[in-house]
Amino acid sequence: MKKQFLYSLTVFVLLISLSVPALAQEGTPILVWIDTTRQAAVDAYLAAHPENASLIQVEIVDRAEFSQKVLLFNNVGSGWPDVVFAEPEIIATVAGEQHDYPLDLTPYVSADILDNFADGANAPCTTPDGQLLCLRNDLAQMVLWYDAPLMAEYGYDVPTTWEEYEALGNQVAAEHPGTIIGAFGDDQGMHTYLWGSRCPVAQLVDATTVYINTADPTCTRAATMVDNLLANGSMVALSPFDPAFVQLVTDGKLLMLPAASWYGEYVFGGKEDSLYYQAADGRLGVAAPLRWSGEDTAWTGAQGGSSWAVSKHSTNPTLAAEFVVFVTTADAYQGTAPTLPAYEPAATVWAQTLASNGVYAFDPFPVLQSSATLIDPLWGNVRFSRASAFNTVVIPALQDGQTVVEAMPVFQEQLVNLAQSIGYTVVTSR
Amino acid sequence: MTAQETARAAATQTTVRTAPTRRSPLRAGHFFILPYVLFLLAFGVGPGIYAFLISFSKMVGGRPQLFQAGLSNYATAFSDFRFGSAIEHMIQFLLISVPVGIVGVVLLALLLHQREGRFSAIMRTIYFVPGAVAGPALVLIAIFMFDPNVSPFGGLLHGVFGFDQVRDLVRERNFPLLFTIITFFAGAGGWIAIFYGALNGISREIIEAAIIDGCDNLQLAVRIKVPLIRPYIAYMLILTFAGNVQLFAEPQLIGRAPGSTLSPYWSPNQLGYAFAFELGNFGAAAALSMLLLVIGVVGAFIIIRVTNLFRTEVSGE
Amino acid sequence: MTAQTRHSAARGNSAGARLYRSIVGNMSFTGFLFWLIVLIVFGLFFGLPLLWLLIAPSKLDNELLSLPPLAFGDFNNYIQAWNNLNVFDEGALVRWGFNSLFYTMSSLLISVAISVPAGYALALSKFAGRRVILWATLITMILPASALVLPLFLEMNAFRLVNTPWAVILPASFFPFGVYLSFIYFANLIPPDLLAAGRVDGCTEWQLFRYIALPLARTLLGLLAFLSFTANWNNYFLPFVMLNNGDLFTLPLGLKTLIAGTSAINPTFATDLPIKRPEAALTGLLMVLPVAIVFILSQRYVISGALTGGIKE
Repeated sequence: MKKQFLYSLTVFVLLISLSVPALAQEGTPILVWIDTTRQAAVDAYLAAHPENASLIQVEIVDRAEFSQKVLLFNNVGSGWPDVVFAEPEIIATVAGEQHDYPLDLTPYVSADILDNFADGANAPCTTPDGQLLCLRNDLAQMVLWYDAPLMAEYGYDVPTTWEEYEALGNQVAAEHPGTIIGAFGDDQGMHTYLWGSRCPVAQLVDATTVYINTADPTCTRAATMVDNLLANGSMVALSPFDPAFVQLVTDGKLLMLPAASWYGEYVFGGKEDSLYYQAADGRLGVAAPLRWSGEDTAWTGAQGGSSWAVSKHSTNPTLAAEFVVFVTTADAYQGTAPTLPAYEPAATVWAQTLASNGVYAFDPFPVLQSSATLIDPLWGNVRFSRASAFNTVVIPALQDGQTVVEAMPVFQEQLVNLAQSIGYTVVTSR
Repeated sequence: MTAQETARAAATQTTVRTAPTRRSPLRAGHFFILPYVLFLLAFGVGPGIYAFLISFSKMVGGRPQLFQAGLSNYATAFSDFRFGSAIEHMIQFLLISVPVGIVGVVLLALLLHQREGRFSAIMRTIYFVPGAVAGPALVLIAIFMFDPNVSPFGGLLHGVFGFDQVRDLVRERNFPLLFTIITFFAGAGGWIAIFYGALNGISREIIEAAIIDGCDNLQLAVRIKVPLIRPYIAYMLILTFAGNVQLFAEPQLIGRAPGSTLSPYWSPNQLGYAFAFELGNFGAAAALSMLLLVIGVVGAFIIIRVTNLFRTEVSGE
Repeated sequence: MTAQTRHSAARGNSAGARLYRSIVGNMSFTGFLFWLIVLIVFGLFFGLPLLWLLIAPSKLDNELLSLPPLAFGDFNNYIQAWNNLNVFDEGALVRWGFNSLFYTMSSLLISVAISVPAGYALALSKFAGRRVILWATLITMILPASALVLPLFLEMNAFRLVNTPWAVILPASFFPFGVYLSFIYFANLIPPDLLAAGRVDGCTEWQLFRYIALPLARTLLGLLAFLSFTANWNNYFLPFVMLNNGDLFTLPLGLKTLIAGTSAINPTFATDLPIKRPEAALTGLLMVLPVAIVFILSQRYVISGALTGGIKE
């Protein structure tokens, strides 16, 4: 009798103790860290899942300081947000050994959903050993924006290859001097021309190894082209946000600009307070990213695009992952999001938001949709900033009168040093 | 007796040693200072010692394991490829910012004090208020003020200095000067207010005696006022030196501006920040902080010795 | 140069001479020019950026580039910019402003209450450990604040104060700068003769402090008050480390967080929120105005503290 009683008691206790965590999981609130712009995502989730209203706590934060907060929380053993909105670069930093923040989402996201993301969208979120550390929120691939009426007026065809692009630059330099077809004054230049050429500024080989080789032919061809266009004046060594560049646009000198997909709405704009075009007069055209002739694919770079991640320390990972899946895939949010969704079905719904903006010469969505899959995945997500190396080494070299080609060796040196200081092993040939 | 001698006499008048009183001020001194000492230990000395210990610690999961790293953090910090240039930048910045800061503040305080009145009061306010601008607004101001095309100072930048584009001005070799300008803009006002208050503390009689003796404003300033506020100048010298050794906020903010070519590891303190929060290596960051501390303390020590800042008549030192 | 020659230029009682004297005062003509030019040049240095900041919210984002720097835009844009800042969370700015005021005033009261007696004791008492305390104070001021992030955070966490106002108020009340200023002030201003006389008369140490030293220290109090106010009002670092709950944020922290994810400072953060550079400029004004007001109000208090040095023979 006693034995039986003890036995059933044990089983009973075991069952309770196994189910208690599950109960706790269902009921534990999650803390979501976002920026001001993403409040709409939380609102959309709560509208769709009002039963979870008491379980979602939100804080607005500055994600640039996120890695600092993670370390502080590591030291006291509590405080991490269950969900964070941050760029894949930041997620990569907090995936490092000392931070160890993001949860592998693979068990929580079905293969169907993953397939519906644009090809390669989640590549920056995926570690070399296959862990999915974040889900992409939006994409910012480089496309070719151009002034449609001006192109028609000058009688030019929109280029499809980099060779044609360079030839066009030579042509405008001769026929319409002062006209601009590109910018190379900050890391936007690196993301456009070097990444777009698949130049190995830093490519992730595996979790601890990086391939860096700025002397690779893929780098040299892009650098040579840029040097040529800078020399003949059809490309300017300015940031697209430099007031001097904006003045060029206002003066009608900007013929085309390879730039991120969000430039259409937020830089060209077509609104009274927009930076480039203040009137919605059907001026802005867009074309597919350029490819190097002899290659099949028009690989392109990107600048921007963020993601959502879940904490390893979350006490309610199911809810957290469900939240992340919702905000990255739901039409209710992504359909009206500010920038191009990474999730293709939602992107199709999002296309309608472009219709109301009269700045476009024609519907830009087909180009945006097809180019979204062309972001070169080889760069991968390294834990150091290529952009900072570029801005602090290459741009000053250009300002001192060097050419881009001449600046590549110091760029190489800086990249290698940075990678090694973070702890990577660097290979310079493959 | 000349005004100068009067002043010196007034200053030294207080150094007459009095015989110790019956009731020693010892206990009372402790009572007055106790609350502060508690805060000093809790928020100054205590954390400082802990930071010192962290510099010898290994990091596991972002948490310091005390004393397991020996001197390796120091090796990591000092052998980093960015360390040398960061120190170089710090020195360049110190060489410009400290003299400019001291001279600028003393000059303005003297001029303001020379003549009371509404103009002086208005100027004082204008000098002080920029100290309240911080964060995004300060970045915005810096971005716009340094761009000859959109700055109110555009005429000056174009015409006098020949800068046509922002990148002519905002470039590597100008950063020490640019940061001097920004830190002076944000910090001078507070010191000017302090010096002005100190100058106000100078006895009217001394000043009047000097004027009667025939001192003009320049002599009054140089021979009477400046010597009498010497302790404040020494104090500012110490803190400006130490504070500029730690330069962090300005390069960190400016580095975030679009198109910025400023390295995120420009100053030693920025490098330490990167060790801590990019690498998660608080140990190396603490090691670097200890170096900056030593530099600052050595500078302070020299200044204190030279000016005898700690000597007061009571202490009998 | 005798007094007589110095005033020769303004001799006489004609209206012109009186006007001249009222402008130039007791300075020589070149001295006056130097005085005026230097003060005005620096006035422009400090003032033009402030003026720009004041005008910036009156323009649209692209007008900041297209209009002349000091051109005024449209007054309605101020209201629009304010609404834009609030579009996200109606009461947030007010809440943050209140927090800032509460934390700053609390730290101010505590720090002044602690620093003034401490500086007095360091200057005018002889006691064991005086030098140690002076050096320790100096060293903590020189120690890089970034080294203290982790230790302070752990300390506040040990007392369960993280994410409460006290985690900001208490460390901010540690005001070594004020103690030093107070030390220098008392050491140079109050002769021990005065205190000795008081002691002979039978005053307690507290009475000496309260009735002799303190009244003479009004300038110091004014200075410390607004220096403490300004430093704490602007402090971003401490609230950032200690606070995670947006409702507890101070104004600099809250505003920076608000702006951080938008394109106001970093144009690559595309956002559909109407927060751009004019709004960022408005946040600067919000931060600056209270300090300007406090400074102007305490000017009087500071000036009126003009002292005679305490010796009445």
